[in-house]
Amino acid sequence: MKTPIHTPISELSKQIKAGKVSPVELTETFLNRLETIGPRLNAVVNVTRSHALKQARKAEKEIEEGHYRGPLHGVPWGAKDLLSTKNIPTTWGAEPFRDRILDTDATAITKLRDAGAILCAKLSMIEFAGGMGYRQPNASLTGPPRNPWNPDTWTGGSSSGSGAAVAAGLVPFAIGSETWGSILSPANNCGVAGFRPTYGRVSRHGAMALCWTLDKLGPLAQTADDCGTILQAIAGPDPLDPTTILTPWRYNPRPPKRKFRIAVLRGVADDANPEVKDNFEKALKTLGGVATIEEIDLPDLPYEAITRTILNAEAASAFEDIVDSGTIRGLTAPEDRWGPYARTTLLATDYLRAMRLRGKMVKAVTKAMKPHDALVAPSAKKPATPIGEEFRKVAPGATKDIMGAAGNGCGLPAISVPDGFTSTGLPTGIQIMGKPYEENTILAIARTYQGLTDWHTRHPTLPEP
Amino acid sequence: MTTPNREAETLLALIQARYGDRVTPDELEEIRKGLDAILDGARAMHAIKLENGDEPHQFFKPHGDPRQ
Repeated sequence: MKTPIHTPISELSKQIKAGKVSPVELTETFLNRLETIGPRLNAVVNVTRSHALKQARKAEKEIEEGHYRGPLHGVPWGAKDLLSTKNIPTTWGAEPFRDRILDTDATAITKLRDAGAILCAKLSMIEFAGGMGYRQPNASLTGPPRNPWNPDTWTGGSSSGSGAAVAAGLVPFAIGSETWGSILSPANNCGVAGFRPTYGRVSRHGAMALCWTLDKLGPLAQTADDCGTILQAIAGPDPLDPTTILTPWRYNPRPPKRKFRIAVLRGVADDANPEVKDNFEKALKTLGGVATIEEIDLPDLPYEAITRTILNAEAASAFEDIVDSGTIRGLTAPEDRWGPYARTTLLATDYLRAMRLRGKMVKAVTKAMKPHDALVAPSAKKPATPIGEEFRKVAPGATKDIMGAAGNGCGLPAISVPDGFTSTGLPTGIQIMGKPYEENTILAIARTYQGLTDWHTRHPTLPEP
Repeated sequence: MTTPNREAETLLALIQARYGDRVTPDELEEIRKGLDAILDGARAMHAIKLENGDEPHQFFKPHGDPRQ
């Protein structure tokens, strides 16, 4: 049979389990795509061909012998290159670390290996996950990450290769990371599902630290349903990461026996691009068939300033050696070579004030969200921007992004799924943000939405290898 | 209280003392804009009243939590 490229994992795994699709042949197909299409999109740092084929042969043998491990067994995937891998370089997207090999496997890598998934590539990312303050796409050792829907536009960042690789059918799924926007942004720009779990749901052991109290790892995949399957494989307590939630998590997106209760922040799309706003309003109309939708306000707090100050202070410390040693002079984006200096002057009392205000922010958002299952908004205010253009002209955090600031600052889960296209053929997305620990609720909403729409079944046209 | 410009100038002087040999005048001007954004954020945060008992929202645990 024809090798499935954009087949959701839910379907692909059935075919693998039934012996209709060979993990070895499947892996060969995706390796070829990674090697041929990947470089055109600047989506790949390293293709792990020999490791992948070894894993694939093992998976095929196990499945043939009846030792089926579960829905990711024999399924190829790609890792954002901030996840440490033994014997494979881990670059953090940064030229000075092009050949660096770390002596540990990240917990997410280990868990996916144990689930039988096949690591096919380390995927490109913005250098230091955007932690140096980049302002334009050419901020990675692999070059500006190009969007499969239009290679003259950007993928979003910082999990850029993860978004591009899933959208282009280079891997069935990828793992990315989000501190503030780094999963939702590429999911939006590339027209795929991207899931940011509750802070602490997934172990960060072995992942580059940008900001200890904001960093999360999560999947990017074809559908919300796939995100749930992948999250179950990587979630759970880990003694190597003391912030992990002790309760194990299982994917169970059972809709409630009532309508979903969805809230929208008043005016949240007012300053969005008109086509983004239009698609969001149509998505709300669709959701209105299965949910009550209510406009709400959040109390007046400096959400962006709080989360940005936390990010600035922790990143200044996390990267202190790299900044002080002058390593940043070797980075790709000119602005990343001096951008981190400003935050080295941040006062300890201002960081602590931000952490104290974080408590107020958590209380305010918890109270506002209590009657609702989720808050929804456009995943981004604008579609993918041109590859050579600055996407922000001011310092990070100076722009308005209350959903990103409150969501990440409070550690809330969120998913972005496509909700339409612009007149120029670029995808747009809707983000569904939930209460902490309630990933299944937002997965149920996203799954229901994807059952009512077909945006996620559309794929970019790329010259085949 | 110092004026915003004085604060930015003071912090810029600190950056020059630490990293002045690594940055050009144009880069310093961009760094100044970064300082302005940081100071704007600090001012926004200082506009919110905090009580003495408003603790940082982070939880320190002594080593050896029996639940772990």
